[in-house]
Amino acid sequence: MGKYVLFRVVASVPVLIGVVIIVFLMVRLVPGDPVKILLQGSRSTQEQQDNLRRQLGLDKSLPEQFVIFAGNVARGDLGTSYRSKRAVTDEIRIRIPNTLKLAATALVITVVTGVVIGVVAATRKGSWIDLASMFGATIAVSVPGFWFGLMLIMFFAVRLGWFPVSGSGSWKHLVLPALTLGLRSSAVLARVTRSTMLEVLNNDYVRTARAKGLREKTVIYRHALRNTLIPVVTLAGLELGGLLTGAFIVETVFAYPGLGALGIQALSARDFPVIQGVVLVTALIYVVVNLGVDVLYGVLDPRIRHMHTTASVRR
Amino acid sequence: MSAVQTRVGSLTLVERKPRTFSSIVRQRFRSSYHAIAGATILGLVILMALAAPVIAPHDPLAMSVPNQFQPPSRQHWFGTDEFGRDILSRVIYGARISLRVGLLATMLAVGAGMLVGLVSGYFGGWVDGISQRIIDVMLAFPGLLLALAIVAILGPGLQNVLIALGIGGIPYYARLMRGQVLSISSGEYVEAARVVGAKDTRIMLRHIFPNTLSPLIIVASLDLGFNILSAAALSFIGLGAQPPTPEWGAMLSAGRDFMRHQWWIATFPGLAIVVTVLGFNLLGDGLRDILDPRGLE
Repeated sequence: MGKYVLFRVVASVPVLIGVVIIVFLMVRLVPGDPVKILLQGSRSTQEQQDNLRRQLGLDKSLPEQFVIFAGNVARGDLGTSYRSKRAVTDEIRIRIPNTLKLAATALVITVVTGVVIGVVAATRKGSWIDLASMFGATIAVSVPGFWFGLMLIMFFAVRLGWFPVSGSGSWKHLVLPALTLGLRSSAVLARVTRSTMLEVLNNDYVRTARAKGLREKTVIYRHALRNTLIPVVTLAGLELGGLLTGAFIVETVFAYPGLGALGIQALSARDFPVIQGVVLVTALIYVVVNLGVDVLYGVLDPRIRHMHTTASVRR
Repeated sequence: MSAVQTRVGSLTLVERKPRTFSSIVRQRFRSSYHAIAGATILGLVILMALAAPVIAPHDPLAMSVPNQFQPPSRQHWFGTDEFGRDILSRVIYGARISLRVGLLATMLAVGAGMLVGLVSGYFGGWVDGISQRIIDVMLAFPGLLLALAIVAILGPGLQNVLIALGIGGIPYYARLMRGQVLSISSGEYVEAARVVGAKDTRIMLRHIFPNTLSPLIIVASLDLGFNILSAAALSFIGLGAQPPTPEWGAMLSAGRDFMRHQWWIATFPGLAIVVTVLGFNLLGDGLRDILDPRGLE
C-alpha cells in the first residue's frame, strides 16, 4: 500500500511543476506590455515604466524570471495585489476556508442526494419514481447554476425570507449557494449511481446472496451498494473539481466572500497577481484532492493498487 | 419488408437482407425517445435562430424608454427590459449567438483534440509521452478554470470566450481519441493494411479515424450543451458578450438587478438556456444508446 501511495505522489510532481509553469506564463502571454496595462489610466513617464518593470522583475530573461517566480511560490509568496496592495497570499488565505466550507457542504449534499436517488431509482427500475428522478436529473444538468441560484434567491430569500440574499457568516448563508453548487453534480452522481447499481445487481454474487435467502435490504445495502461505491467515489472526487470552479460563478451570484468571487473580481479588474494566485491555488487543491481520491480508490479496490505497483516495477 | 420470402414445397424460406450500420442506427433512433425529443427541441431552436429576422416581432436592439419594464402582454409576450427592448426578440436573436459560440468552441476542441489524440496514440513513443504530460497538466485545471485562465490572458469578449472554451476542451478529446486509437490500432485490419504497405497517414485517416467517431459524437453533443452553458456563465459574470448584445447570459446578468419586481427579465433568457442545453443533453443521451457498439455489427 505504501508503495502505491508513493507512486501516486511521485506521479503528481511533474503535474505540479507544469501547473506552476502555466501560471507563470499566463502573465507573459498577455498581449501588449504588462507594465503599460498596469499604468493604464495614469499618464506614465518612461522612468516610471522602467521602475515598475524592474520592480516586477520583468527586465530579466524569461528563465531567470521563472526561477524567481518558482522560488517565491515555494516560499508562499504570490506577490502583491495591484488593486488592494495587499499580499496575494493573505487575500487568498482569508477566503480559502469560506470556499472549502461551501464546496464541502455542496459535496455532502451531492453525495447524499445523488447516491440515495440513484439507489432508489435502480432498485425500482422502470417505475414512475425511476422515470421521474432520471428526467429530473436530465433537467438538472441542463440548468445554468447562476440562473438556478437567482431563482432560489427570488423564491426563498426575497419572497419567503427564509434565507439571506447574500453574504456569509452563519449556516443559513451556506444553504442556497451550496444547493446551487451541488445541483449539477447531484444529478450526474444520481445517474452514475443508478447505472452502476443496475450493473452490479446483475452480478453472480448478488444472485447468490438472493438465492441463499438474504433479505432484499441486506442484498442491496451490504452486497450491491459497496461495489457501486467504487466508481461513485472517483466521480465524487472529479466532481469536486467542478464544485471548486462552479464556486467561481455561484460565489459571484451570492456575493459570497470565497476564492472564486475573488478570482472573478480580479479577472474583471485584470489584477494579474491575484488571478495567478487563485488559479494556482485552485489547481493545487484539485491535484491534491485527486491524489486523495486515487489513494482512496486503491484502498477500496485492491486490484487497482496492485496493477499500478506492478506496472511501475515493469517500467 | 426487408425480407425476401421464397416458397419451397411446404416450407417458406425467409432471406433477410443484411442489416447495415446505418439501418440499425436509423431503427434505433426511431425507438429512442431521448434522441427524438432532443432532435425536435434542437430543430426548433436552430429554426428559431435561422429565421430570427423573420419571426422576431421587434428589433432586438431598439430602445423605447416609454415602454420600459412592461410585464408580459399580448404585444410583448416576454415583456420588456429596462430600456424598453422586447425580450422575446432578444431571446430569439440570442439563439444565434449561443448556438454559434457552442458550435465553434466544440469544433475547435474536437478538431484539435482529435488531431493530438490520433497522432499521440498512433505513433506512441516520445510524441505520445510529451503530449500526454502536457494534457496531464491541462487536466489539472478543472472545469472552467482553464477557460477562465485563458480569458484572463486574452481579455473579455465573446470571441475570446469561444477560444478559451475550445482550448479548455482539447485535453478531454485528446484523451478520448488516444484511448480509441490505442484499442483500434491493435485490430487485425490495421495490421493487414500495414502489411500491404499502406502509408501511416492513410492508415490513420482511412482505417482508424472512422472507427473512433461514435464516442466522439456522443461526447461532442453533450459538450455542445456544456459550452453553451459555460459561455452564458462567462457572459453572466461580465467576461463574455458585452451589452447591448442579446446574449442569454448577459441578459440574465442585466435582469438580476430588477429581479424583485420585474421577474420576467431574468426568467425568460434562463429558460431559453435550459431548453437548448436540455436538447443537446437529450440528444447526447439518445446517441449514446443508439451508437452503443453492443448489438451493432
